[in-house]
Amino acid sequence: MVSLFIPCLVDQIYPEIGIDMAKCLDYFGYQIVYDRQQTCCGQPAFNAGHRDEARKVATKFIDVFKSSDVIVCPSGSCTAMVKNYYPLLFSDHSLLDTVQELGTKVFEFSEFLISENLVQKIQGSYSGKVGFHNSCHSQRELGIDLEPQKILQKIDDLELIQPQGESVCCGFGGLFSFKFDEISAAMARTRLEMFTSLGVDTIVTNDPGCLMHMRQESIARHYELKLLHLTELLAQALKL
Amino acid sequence: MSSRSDILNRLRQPSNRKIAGQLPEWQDKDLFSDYPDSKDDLLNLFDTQLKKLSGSLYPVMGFEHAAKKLNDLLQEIDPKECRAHESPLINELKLHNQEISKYLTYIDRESISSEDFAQFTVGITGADCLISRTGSVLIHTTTAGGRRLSVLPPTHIVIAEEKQLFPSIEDALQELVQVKNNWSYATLITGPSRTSDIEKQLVLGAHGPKHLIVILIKN
Amino acid sequence: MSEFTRFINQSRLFSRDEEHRLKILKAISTYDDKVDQMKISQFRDWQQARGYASKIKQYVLDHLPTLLEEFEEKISARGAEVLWARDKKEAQKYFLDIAKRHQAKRVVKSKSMTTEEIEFNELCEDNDIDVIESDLGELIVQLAGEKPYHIVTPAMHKSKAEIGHLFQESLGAPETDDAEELTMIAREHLRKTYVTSDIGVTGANFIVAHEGALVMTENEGNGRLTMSCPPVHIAIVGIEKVLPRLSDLSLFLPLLATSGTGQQVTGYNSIIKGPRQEGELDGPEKMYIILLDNGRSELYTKHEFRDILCCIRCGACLNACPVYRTIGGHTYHTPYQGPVGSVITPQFRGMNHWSHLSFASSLCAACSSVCPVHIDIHQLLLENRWEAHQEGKTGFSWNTGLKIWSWVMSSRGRLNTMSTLGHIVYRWFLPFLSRSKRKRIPKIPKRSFEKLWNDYEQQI
Repeated sequence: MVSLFIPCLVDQIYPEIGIDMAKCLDYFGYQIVYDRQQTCCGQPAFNAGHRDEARKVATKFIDVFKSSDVIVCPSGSCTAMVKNYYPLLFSDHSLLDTVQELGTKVFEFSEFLISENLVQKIQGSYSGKVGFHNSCHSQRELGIDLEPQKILQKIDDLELIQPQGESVCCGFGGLFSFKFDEISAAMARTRLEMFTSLGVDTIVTNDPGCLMHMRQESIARHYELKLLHLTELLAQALKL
Repeated sequence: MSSRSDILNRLRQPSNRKIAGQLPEWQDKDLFSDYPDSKDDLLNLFDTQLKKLSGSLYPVMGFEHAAKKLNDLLQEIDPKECRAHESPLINELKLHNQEISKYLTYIDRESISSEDFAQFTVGITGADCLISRTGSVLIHTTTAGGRRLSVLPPTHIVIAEEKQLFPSIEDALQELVQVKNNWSYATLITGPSRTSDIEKQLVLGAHGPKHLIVILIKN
Repeated sequence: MSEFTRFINQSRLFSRDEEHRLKILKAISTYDDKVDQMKISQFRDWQQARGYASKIKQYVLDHLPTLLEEFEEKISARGAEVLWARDKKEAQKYFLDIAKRHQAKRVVKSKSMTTEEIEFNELCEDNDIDVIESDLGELIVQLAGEKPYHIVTPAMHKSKAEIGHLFQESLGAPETDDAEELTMIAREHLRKTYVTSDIGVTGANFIVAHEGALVMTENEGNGRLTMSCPPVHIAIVGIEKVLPRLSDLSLFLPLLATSGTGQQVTGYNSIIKGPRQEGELDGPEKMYIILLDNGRSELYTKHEFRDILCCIRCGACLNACPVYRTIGGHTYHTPYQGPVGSVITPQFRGMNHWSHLSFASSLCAACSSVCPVHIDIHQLLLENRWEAHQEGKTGFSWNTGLKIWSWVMSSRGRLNTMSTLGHIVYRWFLPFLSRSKRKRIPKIPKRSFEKLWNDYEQQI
């Protein structure tokens, strides 16, 4: 039984990412449950330095998910918030044990697919030159490296063009993109240009924040690029 | 309260931080790739590394050939002002080839102002040890004839013996610690002076020597 | 103008400057390749090397006062004079006293962040002491009247043509834009300086406790000359720069060079154990070491921040930082820039005017992943943000906004209500936002996931 962890950004702005994730999990034969009481993991407040406010929202999250068996999330940053930063947020708190247990049950989407050996079940195709943008939190907080690439490589007709070296930040950074919008936009341009220089026509990412940020900059600057979330691409490839 | 006490007191305030534990110990051969294993490796790797840095190496058999090589080099360079630091090694070379005496003036006999020192074009020193893994030369003020001789003149010639060739930096540091006399300054020289401060373009001889030459006497 | 406003303005300029962005990217990608290559080719296991380095620096933190005392004892026995400076003013006073004692009129210095920290050049100028930068990059920015652009490559923002013009104007040199010729011009100009200076001032990369020595690494040789020619040598070093043993250098010298410049080791690694000793042919008669605190011991007592004192000033975090790559070094307006600077500047200079540096980050953690001594720099930025908030520096709008946000977000019912209201706001108030901010906001769908779930559930 898999619980859907739907980030606030997905809930409010890109619900299709959540629907596509549900469709994919269904395809792989999982029973899905969605607790509509969930709202947010609290990361925006935490990253802005407002820990009490973050804790308030996180408490709600813990309440919703504490009895779940397995929790899957289409966002590396939200997953990292729960796994890596909830223990810090609740370090001096009665909920610390619950939080540590919760951390063992939450997975980012690609992480989940690999750990459950689901890649071999993928039978689908997507025509395009695809570059994968690994979100910073996925890479450096969760240690997710090749998992998303393995998924993409299994898809027929998909030409995976991967940049060398570690992934560079797209510039989103949550409220950073609002407080320091021009720096943030320039960082997005740098990232997009790196992909276009490799001849990529589709950028896929595993973080809705990165997706939103790069999509907006791409539109504003008229790049010839399609930007998709990993769940969207997979759902399309599997014809779901 | 003195500043010293003030600072140290603050640093001594009790802390509930977890203590890190013991200092790690290691051997360079476990930490670094390209570690020279055999005697041949030692010389070959030193040669490769020094060349990569645009330094020059002349391995020669015995003092006779070393003296001749030094003479040849000095004839070629024809330095206006060559200076050396007096050492048993240099004296040995002079015995084998009288010609080099006409180039060598020792700096040990008198006090020399920095303004005068800056006119010298070649500086000849010994070495404390040579490091194979990095192509480096270690000298301290005793082998170097002070601090200026190996850095002010635009050409630095090092006379060393094969027994001074060691695998890695840890060996150089051990040598330094074992030196009996009180030296104030040592430097690990890895190639000629260089800079990339201007548009990242590599230029040699920024302030220190542009030419680093090692004459290595094999036994 | 507040530092925050200055930062916003300058960062905007640089963010819009496509030419600058591409120039910096090019310089840094060359560096990246060199460094990545060296990590693989020099070390059997770079991560293992980092682990050892981190343990050694943690040990230093645990034993810092004792190690500093040991250093002082050993190097003083050889005639060096160790002075402890609580802050910038005290360090400045020590220098002026020494300059007066030695009737110094001219000082030559090599690259040192601590001298930037204590505004050394300005101090000399105010006291009629001639001060000349000997590092080529530093000389260039000094002549241009600018601050260093980067911790390791101070003049990386200047082209050959600009430098040629600068040398022509300030040094009366013949015009050229050839890198080699320009370097030789600087070399000739500086040689006169070394031999006529009364005092040589350097920093130090490491303080070695057990053997009582300072370590200075460089490529050009100007540091060596600064310590060899003038009759007096002053080294200004941060108190945290300690290593326990000389043998630790066999790891730290390659580690620093690899992270800092992608070299196996830096060209000259000098170990200084004191002033000229009995029987030595030359060297400074007097050596002074100014141990600089200036906020470090205070930071040391804040246990969650102590790790930042492991920093060996390699510059790797600056090079890795996508924000630094976009806005450049000058925008920070502090001696310590990039991620490490964004942690320590608000701590050393106060949250009041400097907290914005800790917020100007996307928290991508590239800094933490390249740090050779395993400092979790991005987590310290988060700690700074928390501290800024606790000190009331996050501002009324954000405080109120996030309080409301957290109230809304702790209930699905409230979220749904606000979402409906939000749609109205989105439609009617969007036109009032600045164009650049408006472009950032995507189309907001009428129905959230929570609303769509009903339909989806019925389908399957």
